[in-house]
Amino acid sequence: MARALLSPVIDACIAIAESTGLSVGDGVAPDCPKPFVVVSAVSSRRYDGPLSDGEADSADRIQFACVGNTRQSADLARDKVRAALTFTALDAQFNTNGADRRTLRLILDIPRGVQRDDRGLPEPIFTGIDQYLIETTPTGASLMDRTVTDSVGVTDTVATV
Amino acid sequence: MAQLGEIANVSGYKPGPALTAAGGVRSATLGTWNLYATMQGQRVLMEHFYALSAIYQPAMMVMTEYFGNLMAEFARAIHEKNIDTGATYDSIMASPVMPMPNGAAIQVSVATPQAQFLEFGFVHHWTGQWIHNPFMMPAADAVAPMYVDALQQFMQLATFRKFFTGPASDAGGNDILGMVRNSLYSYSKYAGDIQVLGFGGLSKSRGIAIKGAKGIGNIQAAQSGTMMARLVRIGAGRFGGSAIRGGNFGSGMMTGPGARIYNRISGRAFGGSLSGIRM
Repeated sequence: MARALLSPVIDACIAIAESTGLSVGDGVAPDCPKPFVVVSAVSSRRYDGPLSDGEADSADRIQFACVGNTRQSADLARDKVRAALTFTALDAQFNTNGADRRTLRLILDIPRGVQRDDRGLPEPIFTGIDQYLIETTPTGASLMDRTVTDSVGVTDTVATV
Repeated sequence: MAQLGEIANVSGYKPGPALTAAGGVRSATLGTWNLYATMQGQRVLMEHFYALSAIYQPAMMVMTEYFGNLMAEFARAIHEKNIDTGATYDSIMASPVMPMPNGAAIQVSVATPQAQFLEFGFVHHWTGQWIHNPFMMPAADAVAPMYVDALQQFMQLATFRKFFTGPASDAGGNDILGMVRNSLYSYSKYAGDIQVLGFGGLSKSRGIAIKGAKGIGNIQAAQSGTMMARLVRIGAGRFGGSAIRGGNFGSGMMTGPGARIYNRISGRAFGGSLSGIRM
């Protein structure tokens, strides 16, 4: 089974943010007018091991920074992301990416609100920040057919009951 | 009986002759049957839970203090690559640990105005770039599972845990666990409890056991270079014991076996905090 070796959670979050029609940057500001959303991974915990381990749970803290020229536009962008980011949407993205994960918990951990930044700017910038804690677990499909690459680069498929 | 055996095994010592239970049915008079059960070692069992209840708060404070300071260190380490003036770096600090009704708390803080921009990100007003260098939340996320794991392992003392593993073993937890075990299940203490309860004839063997234990402990301390820590622990233990005995514990525990239990346990606990973390 195909497996995304990089964090599937941040990929899924970026795809979900893009599905709202907003301009999305992956940790950087996109080269486009405001409003836009910057999605970034703040931290990532592995409870049991790496994501390539089919038995590893993980908890990722993902930040959505919604930047606009007005408070309304930043708030609207934030609200669109909140509406789009659901269990179902995350699991659908995991399926699409072949990530072999499903969502355990989705928590809006830090809703920071929209803040105005006037520092040295010709016009203010409004930024609304939400941090989500997303816990995922493997679906279990990988336990039946796991691809293992050892330290010398030999790839083998291990069938596990 | 099985439960008694399990708890005795927690200590790492053999159950001993007094950790036994017996029961049966005996004919009293014609047509009357008495169901009876006796359990020796009940006091040891009771001490086990008294000890946990008394030691939990100080141990939790020690662990909270440790992990609070660890989080501050993590935050500094993460922020280090983005140091400009160093003001943010220098302002990262952990407060003194605070006791709470059911636990302990510590506050890890950063005190510069620019810290929130680093933590949550901002649009740079010249370049238009998104600058985001979080350091507090990643540090908290790194420490939180370790902290919770340490506390959970400590709570498992009541059932089966023999020694701490993982991050908890780095937190001075094994020192505390060793103190709990040694203070509860050593032969000298055990024999002492029987003596307090009114059984005579054991004072001599108890004295030998205490001397032996102290001698071994001091030799070990001298070999491992921890003699000063041991002395501090002994001193702090006595202070802690007298402080708690004169404190707000229930009157039922002020004298007799109860006082001995608290004296012993609290002493070890306070000694642990002094020697394990602050020294």
